Amino acid sequence: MFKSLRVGFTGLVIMATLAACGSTGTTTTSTNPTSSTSGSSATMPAATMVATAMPAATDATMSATMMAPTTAATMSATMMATATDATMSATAMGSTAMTGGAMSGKLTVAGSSALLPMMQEAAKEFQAKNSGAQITVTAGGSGAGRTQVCSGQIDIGDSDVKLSSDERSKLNCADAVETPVAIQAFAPVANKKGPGSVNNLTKDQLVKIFNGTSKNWKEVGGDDQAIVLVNRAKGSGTRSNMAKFLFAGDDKQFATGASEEDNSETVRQTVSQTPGAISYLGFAYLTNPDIIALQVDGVKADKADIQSGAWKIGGPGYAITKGKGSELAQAFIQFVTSSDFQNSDAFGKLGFVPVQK
Amino acid sequence: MARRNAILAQSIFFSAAAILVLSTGALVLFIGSTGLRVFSFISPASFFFGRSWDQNTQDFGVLPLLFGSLATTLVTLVISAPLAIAVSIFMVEIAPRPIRRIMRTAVELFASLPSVIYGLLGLTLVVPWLRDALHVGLGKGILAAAVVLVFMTQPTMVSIAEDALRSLPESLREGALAVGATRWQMIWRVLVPAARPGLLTAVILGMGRAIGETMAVQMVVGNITSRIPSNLVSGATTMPAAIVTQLPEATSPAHRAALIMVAFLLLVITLILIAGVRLATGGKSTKASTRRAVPAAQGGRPAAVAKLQGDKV
Amino acid sequence: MSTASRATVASQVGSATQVAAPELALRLANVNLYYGSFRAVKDVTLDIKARAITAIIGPSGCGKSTLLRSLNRINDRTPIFRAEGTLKLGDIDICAPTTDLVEIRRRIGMVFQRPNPFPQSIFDNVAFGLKLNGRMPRQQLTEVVEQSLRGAALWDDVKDKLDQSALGLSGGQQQRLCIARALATRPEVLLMDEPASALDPISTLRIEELINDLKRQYTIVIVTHNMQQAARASDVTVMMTMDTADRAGNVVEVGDTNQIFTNPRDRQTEEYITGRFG
Ligand SMILES: Nc1ncnc2c1ncn2[C@@H]1O[C@H](COP(=O)(O)OP(=O)(O)OP(=O)(O)O)[C@@H](O)[C@H]1O
Ligand SMILES: [Mg+2]
Repeated sequence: MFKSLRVGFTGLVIMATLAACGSTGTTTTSTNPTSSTSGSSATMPAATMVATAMPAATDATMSATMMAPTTAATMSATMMATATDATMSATAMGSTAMTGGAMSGKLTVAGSSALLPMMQEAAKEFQAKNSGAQITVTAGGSGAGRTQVCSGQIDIGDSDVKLSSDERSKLNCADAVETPVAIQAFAPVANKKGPGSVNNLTKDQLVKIFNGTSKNWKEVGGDDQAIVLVNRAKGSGTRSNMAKFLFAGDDKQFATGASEEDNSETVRQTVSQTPGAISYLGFAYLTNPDIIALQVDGVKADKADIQSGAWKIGGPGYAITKGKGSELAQAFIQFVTSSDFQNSDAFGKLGFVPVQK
Repeated sequence: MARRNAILAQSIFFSAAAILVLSTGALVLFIGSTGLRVFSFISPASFFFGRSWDQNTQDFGVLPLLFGSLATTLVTLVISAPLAIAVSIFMVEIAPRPIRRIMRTAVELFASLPSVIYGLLGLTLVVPWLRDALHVGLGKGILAAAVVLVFMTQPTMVSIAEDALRSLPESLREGALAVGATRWQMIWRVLVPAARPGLLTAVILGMGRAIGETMAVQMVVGNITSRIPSNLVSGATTMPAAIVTQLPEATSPAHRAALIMVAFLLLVITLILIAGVRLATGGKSTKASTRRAVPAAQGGRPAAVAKLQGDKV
Repeated sequence: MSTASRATVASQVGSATQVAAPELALRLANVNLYYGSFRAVKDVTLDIKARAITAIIGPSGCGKSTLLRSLNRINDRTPIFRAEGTLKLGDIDICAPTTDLVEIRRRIGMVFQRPNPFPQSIFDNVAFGLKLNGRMPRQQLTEVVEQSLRGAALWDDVKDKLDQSALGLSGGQQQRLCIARALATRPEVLLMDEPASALDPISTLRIEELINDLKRQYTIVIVTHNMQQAARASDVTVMMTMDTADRAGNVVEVGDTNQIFTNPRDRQTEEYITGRFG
């Protein structure tokens, strides 16, 4: 008995180690914030979930939706406006038009966990229209998305931020094409205890809180309550968007804070239960009743202000291909950016704002 | 025919063992060689003795991670090993059958909970509780992680410790009672020492679980890698938590290699811990009792002798 | 039938006590032993002489072990077990709820069918009972351990390896170690349930010799299936059988071992003894 336990233990260690270094996808997805809060159909438990072809009935419904009259015009307008590469979108449109919703082949998409639910939804709908297509969407992190698409491991990498020029050269990815697929907005959030009557902070006040200069809510007009700073982990898209706004992108200016969380759901939990806590979250979380979404310089984070550009925290998330990408990849990106999808209920529910000029 | 079967069976077992050994070796080799690449970016001294791990400054000093893992594991074991042994003693020696059955079910239930659930419970129950009880701002840190791990390690530890105690022959118990031992004396002076190898295995496996646990720890430990924590209740990290938090966003090759080196270190440390505990507690007596407890407890070498003698047994 | 046999038993016990030593170690009166609703032993009335060897014989399943194990209440470990009637050690009522079990077991030692040494050193095995009641000076401990080992005829075998594991001893040595362990607490009575049945013939002989030596100081009650052993080693023999109707064990004859083996009064005793010899 003893011996066999020992062997079993060795196995355990191996598995633990494997899990530790290889399970990044699983981990990110299993706590995926949006899928657990939105209750949308895109709630997908498994990270490596392969969205396979839809059954015939759904197929029919989907095709019906697609034939809605206004589609074509709006779609092309959006495409022209947003795509980085005009030639590419033209080609993509052409091919889609020719094959008439019968694209086939396999596509792997990975990267940003923030964009994951939206990409999964898109993949589901795209496959419903193109029964021959098989699109695998996984998370893994924006960094992984950029790295893997550049090394050719995947077809499309999702990323909350663009490739840096450094990455373009180091990852041998000069020809990468970055298409904005959705606007993600972020806002400072706080526990109900602490801000008191304050529901608006200036950018300057926020800078002081997040760089650790202000340590008590009374310094910004709130209650006498110590500020508990909760950060996202370094390298997260949410955090870099916040750094871009607060510190002109210089992440080093963030104070260490009380904790650095791996995902937004943990941030929400932590902020909601910790008096004095402050952090930042994506747009989808702001309606959550147990936290306060703070206004910044008198502007509230809502869809109109985000689209108009009055709300300054956030920016587009990108689908990155190496070169123009395969025909299928182009068609998929075209579908994701189509106004039909961008203005759909599912898209809105997931907390994204359509990409528009 | 029988011989051919035996050969076949033997070769199957042999290749299974070979596959296990080889794949273990390959894994260690792969992780080791990938991880060691970190030293083409930073010096071993700055890796092993660096007191900060911060990708912003590209400092990859492993001490905050190492310290966090060791401290978390230690605090966990200090609480959970005695607890598990007490619980298993209660289940085997004291609890009446229905209660024992309920406890067994509870333990099995605990074992089947995914670690993210433990993390969630830790986040919503343990962290606020520590925060209020200890008057700290947030409550995340090594202590919170250890409390969660105490619960996570119980199923493994209790079920193995329980097995170890249960497999002790009734004759040992009667032997102790017959010379006038009370139930507690029987338990502490005979059963626990006799079950020591099994209890030790329970503790080691619990330790393996504690040091390798990722998800639940990550949710309550605070994930602060840039410094060695000064106490048990401020943000800290462990090796697996740091790996899982940072690997997805690690774009710089130095950062990736450093993280994989941490995985390698985790592997090595686990091996050292196991070997160390065995050495420390596995002296001559443990070995003797491990090997002999079972046959001797059943009466030395009885069956054949009894047959020879023609006695009724 | 059962009333008749009880009468016989009583008269025999009476005569036995008159003839031999007056001192009684254990007295059983109207003892009934149950496992749940099953009565395993019924209506046993029996006196056990001090400093003599009493052998309990009888066919398998007739309740010998049950009776023996009720004398030090080790059978209490079986949850469904229950004892009725009077069992006395001197003036102490063994079965009374107020009786100190630890006390009883220190005064009534037991040796089991299979050697059951603890997986500890030889020394610790013997010293085990001594250490239970608080600390004893090391010097005294060592002395008692030696005496006990000598008493169990094991000292010469193990004197150089007292700190070695008891599990390294042979089966016969282990059984003598268990006897030494029981002797260490200086009991008045030693209960032995087939103590040699798991041993080879030579070890068996040594144990028998040992038992014979021990009777000068101890009251010994031994259960055995080995008729030669009973005849050779014991002073008094108790014959038990199982009632054919309710399968309850009872005592059919008690007497001087010589008399029982040469001139049994009960037909069942005769059949059992001769059956075994034949
Ligand atoms: N724990 C128990 N629960 C229920 N019944 C039992 C238990 N132990 C013994 N018995 C029953 O009590 C009766 C007497 O058993 P006991 O072991 O005392 O017989 P024995 O004379 O010692 O037999 P043997 O010579 O085979 O050792 C048997 O019918 C047996 O089945
Ligand atoms: Mg018996």
